[in-house]
Amino acid sequence: MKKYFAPIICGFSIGIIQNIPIIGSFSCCILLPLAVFYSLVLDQKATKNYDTIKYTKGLLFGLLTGLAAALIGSTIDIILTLMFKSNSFTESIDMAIQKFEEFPLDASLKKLAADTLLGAKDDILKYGFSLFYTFSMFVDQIIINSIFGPIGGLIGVAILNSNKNRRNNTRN
Amino acid sequence: MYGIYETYVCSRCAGIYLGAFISSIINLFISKEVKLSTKVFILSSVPMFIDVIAVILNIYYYSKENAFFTGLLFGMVSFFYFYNALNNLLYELKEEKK
Repeated sequence: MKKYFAPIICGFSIGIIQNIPIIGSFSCCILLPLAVFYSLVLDQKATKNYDTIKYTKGLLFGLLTGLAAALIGSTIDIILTLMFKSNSFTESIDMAIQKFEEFPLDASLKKLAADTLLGAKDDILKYGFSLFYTFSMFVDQIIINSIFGPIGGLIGVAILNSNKNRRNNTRN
Repeated sequence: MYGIYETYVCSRCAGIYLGAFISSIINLFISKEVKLSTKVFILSSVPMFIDVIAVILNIYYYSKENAFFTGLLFGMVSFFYFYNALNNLLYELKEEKK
């Protein structure tokens, strides 16, 4: 467990950051891969092992950081929604529903989707909680983070290893 | 982004994905292995980070064009790192199986 502290800590940090307005919108494509890279650097410092890093380790660190970020990010979002009875979903859903009209789908399907989303919005505004919203946000976070986390991990290992190779080549 | 064309991801992400796609096509015609340099990676990400920080600090308003082109540059460069990493990962997994 101890050897996975770095990705879990970085994942928790990103989970918190992704709930900050504006900054949070950069979380998937920029902040999460950066956090995975930092977790690899942190792990190197903690273990004082500066050897070439295995790509499978990068993949695992990416996945763990992503999952930790999804877990803590969703939990914080649920708590904030409960407290304020409003979130980015309730503010932007009407605009998203308007966009539905452009989709090449059956009218009954569009209505069903719009009704479900508006139901979730009403639940949040009334009670500060919607099971549909909570479930879909959690699944969405897990899927996105488990894609971008490992990508960040692989790129991070490639960067760290390319530095080491260069240093070794100059020494030789 | 321009006129009637819309993407269902943000401009920056669209730029990153398109950049990675362009690099993947370029990569098909390159027979030599691309040497990875951290400097190039950092240089390619600097415009994007400056843009992100400038928007967060309200120095200027979010511009789709800026976000798209800085993302495009970053995506084009990061693809080569991702491709290299993926190759090495597959090699590593093969070696582990042996």
